[in-house]
Amino acid sequence: MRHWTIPRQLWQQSLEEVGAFGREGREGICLWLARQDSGSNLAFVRSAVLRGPLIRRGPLSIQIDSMLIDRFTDVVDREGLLLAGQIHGHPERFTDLSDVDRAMGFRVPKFLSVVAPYYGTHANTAFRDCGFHEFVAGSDYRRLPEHELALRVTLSETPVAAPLSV
Amino acid sequence: MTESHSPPHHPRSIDVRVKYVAGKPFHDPDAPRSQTLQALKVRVLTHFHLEEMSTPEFQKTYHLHDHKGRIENLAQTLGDYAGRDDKIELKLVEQITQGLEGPAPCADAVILEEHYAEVAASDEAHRWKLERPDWLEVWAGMSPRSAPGEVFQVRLLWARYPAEAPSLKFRDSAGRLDNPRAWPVLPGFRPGSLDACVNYCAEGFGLHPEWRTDPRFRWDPRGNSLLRVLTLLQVELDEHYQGRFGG
Repeated sequence: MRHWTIPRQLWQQSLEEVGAFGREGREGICLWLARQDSGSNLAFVRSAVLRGPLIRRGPLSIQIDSMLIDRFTDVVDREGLLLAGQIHGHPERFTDLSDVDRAMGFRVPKFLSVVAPYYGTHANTAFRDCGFHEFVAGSDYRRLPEHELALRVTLSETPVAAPLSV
Repeated sequence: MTESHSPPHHPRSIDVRVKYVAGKPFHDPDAPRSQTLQALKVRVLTHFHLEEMSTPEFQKTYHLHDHKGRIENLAQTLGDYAGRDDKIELKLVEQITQGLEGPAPCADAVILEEHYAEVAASDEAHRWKLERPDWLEVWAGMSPRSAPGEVFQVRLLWARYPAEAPSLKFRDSAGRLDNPRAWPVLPGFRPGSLDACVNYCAEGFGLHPEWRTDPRFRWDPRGNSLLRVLTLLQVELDEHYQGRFGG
């Protein structure tokens, strides 16, 4: 069973990124990176933000073009990192994954997909305010119940660099 | 001494590395040259525990890319693809969509999305509380200059953007559109009928069909229509506001 560690600074960077688009009434997304040599317990070490016309953010949808994923793959690989999680915003208090999130997001085992309420615009949003979902191999995303969230996701004080911008 | 010409020698195998953004790279230093790219893709998907999916609603597919982009011909063998090279490096790539809805349903929504972003970044926007709850719908909280404490939330809903004028209503604090008290008293605005007789909303053109063809009044779809409607409404509020409708 995987355990995730999220640095406080990375969490704040993520809310800033998601909330910036949320304040425009659009869904924002921030990607979370870990080292390629991570073991089963995984610490996120860097966030990444996507820019340019190959990502489209709407009020109820984010589309990332495959050519941007292509470019992002090279950048992440060069850094010896891999994408292991993401956070995106939903309007109001809806923090479950939608059908679109489940079907058209990253569907790799143990991937962590987090949904922030109010489009991530509340700076003091805590883990428990969000929906944490793990992709289960051969199955689908599963939301972590509250007691499991407390056991498997930890906030750390480890400093992180500024977000990678691609 | 005679010089002999022998055909170029290719080893029977090839060193293949495939990167995927959410996994440790796939690496086979000894992949058969006779293997097709399609067969390689199947192995790579297995390596990353990925499955392609096709349902009536969703299609999840992965593509092999090289430095030029997507590789279309997966029937070719690794040997044919590599030519004289003894190693190849590829990427496994996907399109990502996240959110409560799928892609924008129409081009109109995409144009409004761009115009909304322009408005949100404009100097004028600091006076408005903007929200976009749906693809062709915008809410804006606005106040008259003379009564900054009074907030009116206008709801603009387009059937076609920017080709037609939007429906213009005001929302009350509960989100209802049928409350006349949510309306300001302005020239041409009829809170009792929940409509406005102005040439920048659909209700106005419904009341005055002749405006549609009159060059003085017809709807102009050029430029940022969202910004134009909000600006016209703000000018009305600043210059002609007579209070909140009291019923």
